[in-house]
Amino acid sequence: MILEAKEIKKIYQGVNKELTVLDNINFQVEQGEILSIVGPSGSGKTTLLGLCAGLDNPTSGVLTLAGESISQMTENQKADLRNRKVGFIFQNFQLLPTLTALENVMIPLELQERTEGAKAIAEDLLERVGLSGRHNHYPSQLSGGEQQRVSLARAFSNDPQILFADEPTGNLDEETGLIVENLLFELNREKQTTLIIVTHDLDLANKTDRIIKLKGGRIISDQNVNNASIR
Amino acid sequence: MKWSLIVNTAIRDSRKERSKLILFMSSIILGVAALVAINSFNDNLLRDIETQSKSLLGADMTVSGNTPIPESLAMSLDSLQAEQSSEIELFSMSYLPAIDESQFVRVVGLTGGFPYYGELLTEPAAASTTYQSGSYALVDDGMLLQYGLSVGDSIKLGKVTFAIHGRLLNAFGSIDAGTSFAPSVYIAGTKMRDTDLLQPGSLVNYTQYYKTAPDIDLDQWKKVRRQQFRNASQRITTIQDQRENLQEAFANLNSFLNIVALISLLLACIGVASSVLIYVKTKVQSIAILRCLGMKSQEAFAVYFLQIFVLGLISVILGVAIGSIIQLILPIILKSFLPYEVSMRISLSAMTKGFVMGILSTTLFALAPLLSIRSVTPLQTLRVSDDPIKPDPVRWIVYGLIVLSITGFLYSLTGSIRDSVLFSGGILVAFLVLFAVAKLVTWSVRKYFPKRASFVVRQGLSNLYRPNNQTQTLIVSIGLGTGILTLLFILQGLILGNVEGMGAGNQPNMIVFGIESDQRAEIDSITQSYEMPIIQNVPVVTMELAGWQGRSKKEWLRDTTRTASRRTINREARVSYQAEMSPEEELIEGTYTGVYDGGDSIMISLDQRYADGLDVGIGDDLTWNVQGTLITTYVGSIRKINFRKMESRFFILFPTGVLEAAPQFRILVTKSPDKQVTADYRNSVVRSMPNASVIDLGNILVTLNSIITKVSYVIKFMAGFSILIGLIVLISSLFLSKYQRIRESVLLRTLGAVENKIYKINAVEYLALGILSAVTGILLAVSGSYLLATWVFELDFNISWIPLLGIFLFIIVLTLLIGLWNSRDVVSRSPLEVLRGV
Repeated sequence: MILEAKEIKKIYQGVNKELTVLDNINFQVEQGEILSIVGPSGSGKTTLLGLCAGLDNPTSGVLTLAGESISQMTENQKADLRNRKVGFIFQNFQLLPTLTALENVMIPLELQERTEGAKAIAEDLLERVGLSGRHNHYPSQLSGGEQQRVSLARAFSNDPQILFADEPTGNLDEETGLIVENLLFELNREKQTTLIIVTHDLDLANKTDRIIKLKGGRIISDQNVNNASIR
Repeated sequence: MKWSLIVNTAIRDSRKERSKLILFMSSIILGVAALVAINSFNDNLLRDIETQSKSLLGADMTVSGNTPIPESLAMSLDSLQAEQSSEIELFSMSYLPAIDESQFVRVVGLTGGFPYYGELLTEPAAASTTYQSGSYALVDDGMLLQYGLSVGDSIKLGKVTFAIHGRLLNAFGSIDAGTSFAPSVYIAGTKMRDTDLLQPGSLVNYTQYYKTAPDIDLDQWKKVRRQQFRNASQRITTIQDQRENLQEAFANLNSFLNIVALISLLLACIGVASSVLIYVKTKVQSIAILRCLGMKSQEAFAVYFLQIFVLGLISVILGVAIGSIIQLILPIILKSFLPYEVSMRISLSAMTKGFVMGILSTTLFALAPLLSIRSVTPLQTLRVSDDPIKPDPVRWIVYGLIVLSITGFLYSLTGSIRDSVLFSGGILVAFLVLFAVAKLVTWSVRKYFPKRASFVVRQGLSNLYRPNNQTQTLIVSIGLGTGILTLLFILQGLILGNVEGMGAGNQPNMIVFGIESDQRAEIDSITQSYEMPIIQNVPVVTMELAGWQGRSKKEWLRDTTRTASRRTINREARVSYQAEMSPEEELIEGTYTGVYDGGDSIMISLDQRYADGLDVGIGDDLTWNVQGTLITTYVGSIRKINFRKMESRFFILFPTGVLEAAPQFRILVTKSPDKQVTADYRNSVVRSMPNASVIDLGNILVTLNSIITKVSYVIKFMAGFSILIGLIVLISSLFLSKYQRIRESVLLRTLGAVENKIYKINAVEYLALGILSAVTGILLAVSGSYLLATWVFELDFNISWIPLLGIFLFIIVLTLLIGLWNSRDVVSRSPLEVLRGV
């Protein structure tokens, strides 16, 4: 098991009252599984992704990621865990604007202090996503699809055990989205990575092994795509 | 810490963004340059005082006083077995027969081989050694040039006519202000008696110059005998004293330059903080991504700290270099103002001080905004957080260090803990006031929002309180910048205005002194024949204080616990008597008694400063030695004198009916309509009464004016630095707004707002911010300058409001223009580019 959420609750403190965004969230994810989290806007999808990836802390409950309880970890320990075992893909790509495509891909490796071979890995991944000629281009010189492909390359550069993707095709047109989707699944298959996708796109969700549906901050269903209920 | 990664990321990340730090770098470069230039100049000034004081004194030691050295002291001076020269110095009218003109001069009668160090430069050179051999005079070169006279012509001093033997190219004792107003004429000391200028009541200074054997410790010698000489009203000056005197003479220039240095550095620091704040804001997303990818918060902090530190270091080094170059120019600007040449040498200590202060202040002021990097969470990659910033103890430590470093820097400049704490306290108060004003503005705009106003006004005003508003940052930084700049303007104006005021308006411009009592009618008649008014014609009686409060002067001088100042006790009193108090003076305490009624008590009136100096009050007794006769008086009133009026003012006023029979002379104050009348009147007076001296205040004012012009040039030159840095601060503060408003302006544009509307919305916001910052800053400056003028500079606080209105409008226009320039950038950029967030 790579990820386990037990009794997760997330409350935001509003001006006058508390706002419960997630409540009683329980699920487990096995190594190599491809899972999607779907639900209407405001259902808590992105909050759940942030919690699972160790970007935020739950108000209560226990989260175990790659065998380690992240609820108890310090910020630095979580940063270290993310760097070693987690990859990210964002809807708005989140590339560093001041770094070239190649440098953006190298960053996770450099954070691991892997100076030797980092460039080769990054070049290889950029070639894999079809951007071999764009190594030295800055994000502002790339199209949206190209930026997301750089983001894909970066996500896989540290050989993550688990990859979190937040609406990976949400900012792309259908055709480009499809290319990125295919690349994501291809790379995932190759690297045997666990993939968790947050999406509105049911077509994309249906390409995953399992779908968790959220509504009002609660899981309303957790099923394999063949409709076998997990809960 | 992964240092190689931190260094690499810092370099890569800064590649495309360095231009954003240009303002940051400019602030530091200018601030440090000003600091180094000023400190270097001060160092050179002090070093030159150290090396040149021997040749400026011209001897190893001097003893001077208003009387020749009494016999009682001669023996201890003889024990020095020194070579000696004597000098008699007085100010008098001279007559130039060749052109039938007269001129007020400083007459120096010398006997002996003075100067022992340095040279009396003359043309021809040999004249300096031969002029004592007959009725010869060395005359100031400038005066000879002015009247077109040359060597061989003659000059009449009192009753003796001297042949002009040489042109005097320098003069000793020229740091004394008197030498600036009266050109020097050197004659043989033996001829001085013959001139008949040494009259009772004449202002004469006797100086004895000594050249001693090198092994004699004169400072030690002086220490033992100082008291004895003081009691005889004789002052000993050694080379060490000369150094201290010179340092004191330049203390005000130093203080002003130090204030400019501090202001420049403070403004630079505000510039640093504003630019780093902008920089960090543009970097939040990158930091969040780095954090998301596994970078620890302290590593992310280190990346940006390293960037800022390295750029800061480069800027400080550049600043030190530029400052050192500027300090080479300063002595050229000040050349004619200084009594001696200041060498142009690089000062290592000033460079080190500038470097250390530059690095320290850059680091501390950059740290304040940089610390917020530690609170950037990786979650901000998913959504922008508006969570309030949590209280951070480290931030408070940094603030504390900033206050400490400013206080420490001030202490290094002023040497006074009280002044440095007060000044930094003042800055802190200004900061808090501005902060409170900003809070009040956001609160009141929200509370009393003009709901019925137009869309443009509502949108512009709501920007003042909406999330991510810039009200606080801009009001504090623009307000503080405006405040400091205005303070500098006001102080400069006050200092210059107080001096210039002396020559303004319908003030008298001519004083005749040394008139004997029986010449009163004659001088009045000469004055009236030129149709000039007799503004004052008052008697002057010289006397000495013999004792007060029941004790003799000697007893008081021996008392180490006394509060009266030695200077006040020993000074020769020039007293007048008059029935009415001058309307220009203010009675502070007691009742003015104008006429002595023949009773037991003679009630006199003292100037407030004189009374303070002697620590006496109403009813205290004072005994005077009026040329041998002792007169006991009582303090009947205390007055405040207005010294800005060019009239004779007397610290001590007797009632009429007491001093009429005492030896005395008179002073007449009048006003001449033009230069020709001045020259004719002067000649008439000198011809009829050779004992009288006519001082043309017009000439003095011209000299004073030229000094003021030079000083104000220096003030303006140095203040220029601060103003430039201030502008950079304003600009960098305003650029902050560009990044705050760019997204929403683009969104408005995308939603259909026309360019004009976006300009108007931004104009409303910037106008409000500009007005509020300028008003608060100017009010703070007015309060601050009032306190400084009253407590530090002791100046009349009489500011001109028109320049302040100018500053007010300038700040508003500048804020508005830069704000609109930012909007122009928004309007010209592709909305897609901004919305894509790259």
